[in-house]
Amino acid sequence: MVIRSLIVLVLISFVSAESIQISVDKNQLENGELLKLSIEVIDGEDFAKVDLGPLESNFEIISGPSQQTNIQWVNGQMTSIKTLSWNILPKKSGDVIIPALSGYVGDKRFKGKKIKIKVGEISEDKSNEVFIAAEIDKENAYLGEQITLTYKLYKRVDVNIAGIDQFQMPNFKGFWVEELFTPQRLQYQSKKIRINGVDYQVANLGQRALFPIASDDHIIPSVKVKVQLEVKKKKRRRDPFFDPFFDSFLSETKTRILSSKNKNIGIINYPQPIPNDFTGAVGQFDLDTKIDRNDVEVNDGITLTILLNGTGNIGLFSFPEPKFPDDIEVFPPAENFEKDEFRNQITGKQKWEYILIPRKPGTLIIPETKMSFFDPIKKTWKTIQTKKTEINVIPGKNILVSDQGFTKKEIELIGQDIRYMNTGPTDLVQKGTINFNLLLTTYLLSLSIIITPFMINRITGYRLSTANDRKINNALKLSIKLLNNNSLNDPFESASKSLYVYLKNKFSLNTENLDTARVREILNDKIDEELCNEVIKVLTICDQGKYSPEAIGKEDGIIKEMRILLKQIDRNIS
Amino acid sequence: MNSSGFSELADGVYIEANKALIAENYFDAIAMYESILNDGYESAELYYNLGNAYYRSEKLGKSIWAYSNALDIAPRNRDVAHNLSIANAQIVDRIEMPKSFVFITFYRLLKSIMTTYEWILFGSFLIFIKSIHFLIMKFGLVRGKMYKMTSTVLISFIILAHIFAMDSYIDKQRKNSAVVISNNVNAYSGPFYGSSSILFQINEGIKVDISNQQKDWVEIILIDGKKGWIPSESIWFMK
Repeated sequence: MVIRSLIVLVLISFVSAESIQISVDKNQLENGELLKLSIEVIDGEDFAKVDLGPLESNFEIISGPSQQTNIQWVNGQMTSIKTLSWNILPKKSGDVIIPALSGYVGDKRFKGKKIKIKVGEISEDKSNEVFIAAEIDKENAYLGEQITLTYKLYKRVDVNIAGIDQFQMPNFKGFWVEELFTPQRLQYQSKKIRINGVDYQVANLGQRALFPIASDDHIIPSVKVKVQLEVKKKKRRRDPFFDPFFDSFLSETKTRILSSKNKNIGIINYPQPIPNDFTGAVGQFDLDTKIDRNDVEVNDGITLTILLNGTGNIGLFSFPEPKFPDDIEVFPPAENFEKDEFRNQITGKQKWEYILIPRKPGTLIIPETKMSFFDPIKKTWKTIQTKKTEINVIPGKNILVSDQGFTKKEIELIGQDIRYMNTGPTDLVQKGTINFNLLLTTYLLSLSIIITPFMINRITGYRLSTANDRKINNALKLSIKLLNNNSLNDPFESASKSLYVYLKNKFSLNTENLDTARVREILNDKIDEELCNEVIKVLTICDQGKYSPEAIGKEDGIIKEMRILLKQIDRNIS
Repeated sequence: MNSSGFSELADGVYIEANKALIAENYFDAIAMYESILNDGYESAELYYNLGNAYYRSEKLGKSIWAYSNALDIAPRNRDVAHNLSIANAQIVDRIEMPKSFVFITFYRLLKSIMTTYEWILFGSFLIFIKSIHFLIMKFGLVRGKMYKMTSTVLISFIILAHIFAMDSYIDKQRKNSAVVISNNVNAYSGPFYGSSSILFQINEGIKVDISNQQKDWVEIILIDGKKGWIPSESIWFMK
């Protein structure tokens, strides 16, 4: 094997202290071989941010980016290298160009240069040494017919595979997919297969049952898988000791991307006419009906089991609901699907269990239920049907065995009877007659009562008292009472307070906290000036009595004086 | 207003019908009661006895119709309520009533205590009381705070009573309530027969709301919200 010298194309563009290198690990490779693209940032703070968009026309990114940071000390000087790398696969052979990539390091922009790569056509010998194939059992199918797809890895007997990446099943557009087989590890079948005179070992990578569903196209897409092939080194004569013992330890590996081809499935139309009761079932099916007993009491439950047995797209179609008689209560069925594991065809049993509760005695007949399906092997329509089932319902001992749907109160009521008729006289009235007179009278009476006081006021001028009126009228009485009680135990205080309260009530003031100046202001134009002065004088004495000894001896007189004064004011005002 | 002679005639028929009912001659009793109704007369007792006659002759839907009408006129009649609940318990179909807010249930219960007329009467009576109350205040017999408090209570009661009265009146005016009177009634998706468009099946006794009417067909709404068209001969409208 030719040991190719590793040629590294280094493209350096200096961006101040940092420098960026874009490199590939080889510039000559075979079709299917991977190329490693690295972007190194030397002495930079950050990894490069690069736009790989231009790359995608010629290359496919298989893995990456992976990050790596190296720090070197050389002669006391530190160099850091931050590397991003991708594994890319050329899409075509011949001369392929990695376009100039541009991006940022931090906020500085850089632009690399083109790299030219030569992709050699893989030799026939090599391309045949290992490959994968998607094998289907039929190219054309009816909608709902099973297509068995198997991905297989073929390798020539003399080639060793060191490792294989996890095989990922693609998304099958236009198919319902059921898993048939997924291998735990790569295992070769013992039987060798000879293609063009060459022996191959075959490994099953996975098997799926595909059921075409209504869709625009039905494509089994191409899949890619990465394998590591062992590359045997040339025996080196110089190393008699290590050879061939260490050969296996020292063998190199080479990565190869294998891809299968796209496959298109043709859809065959069903033969006409399509039966009315066709719900999408394709395959070979049998129907069976079971009922747990044929004699049952009213309100007792019975189980009707419909069993669908067969091969085909079980689970992909619905079964028509049997037409149950009206006198039977039906609960939604419990569905159960059992798959038969050890077959290449999806086979199994689907079970619908209906619980039925007859509500009336008699003979109930559950009629046949028909279902049509398409048999893709015989290419004909077939109809299967359930058996007609007769149930003998005998009246239960208890009227109410099941309390399904009844509330407790209603159960109590069912045992009772209605009350006897009303034998008394009745007051037959014409339909829709309402005695509006009484209503009208009440409303009008209320209205007139509310209006009355205002009318009295309007006509006679007499005002019915309000709370405020009463306060004004009773002002003198209230204040005299206050004065007589001498509730404050201070004659001066009581005297002035009674006057203030009187004024407040009489003139509907907000507060009774008044003083001499305010009192004069209030009374000024309402009573004689003489009386007003007298009032102020008495108030002054009261104030003095509260704070100074001057008023001592006038305690008894002040109450009497104030009483006279209040009466005078009241008379004077009104 | 009709002449009283006609009413006396109806009274006579009513007494005869009662006699037939006592003699368990349900068919005749029903015919006579129905003739009184057809003449345009009604009463709670009439509907109640008619309901009994229907119930005895196993016409569950019609008996529920009659009892419901009786309860409409006499909402506090225990006998009517009892017989209606027994008849309701015999209904074949169980329709799940959607759970409603407690307050709404309470409101409906309160509203059903009295008839529309009684609610209006109650409201007007309260207004009368309020007017007297106002007069008393004017004469100075009730004072400040006391007056305000009683006034607030009275006015809020007046408003409530009138709300009930109005709601009850609107309910009655809509006249869209009916009772299914035949068994195995197929509800269709439209006002025409067609085997593929049967939505559900109902039996007699179920109270339904009528949302739409077309020649010989009505669109019903069940209490749980299901809608469908049924022939109008299979229901009786509440009066």
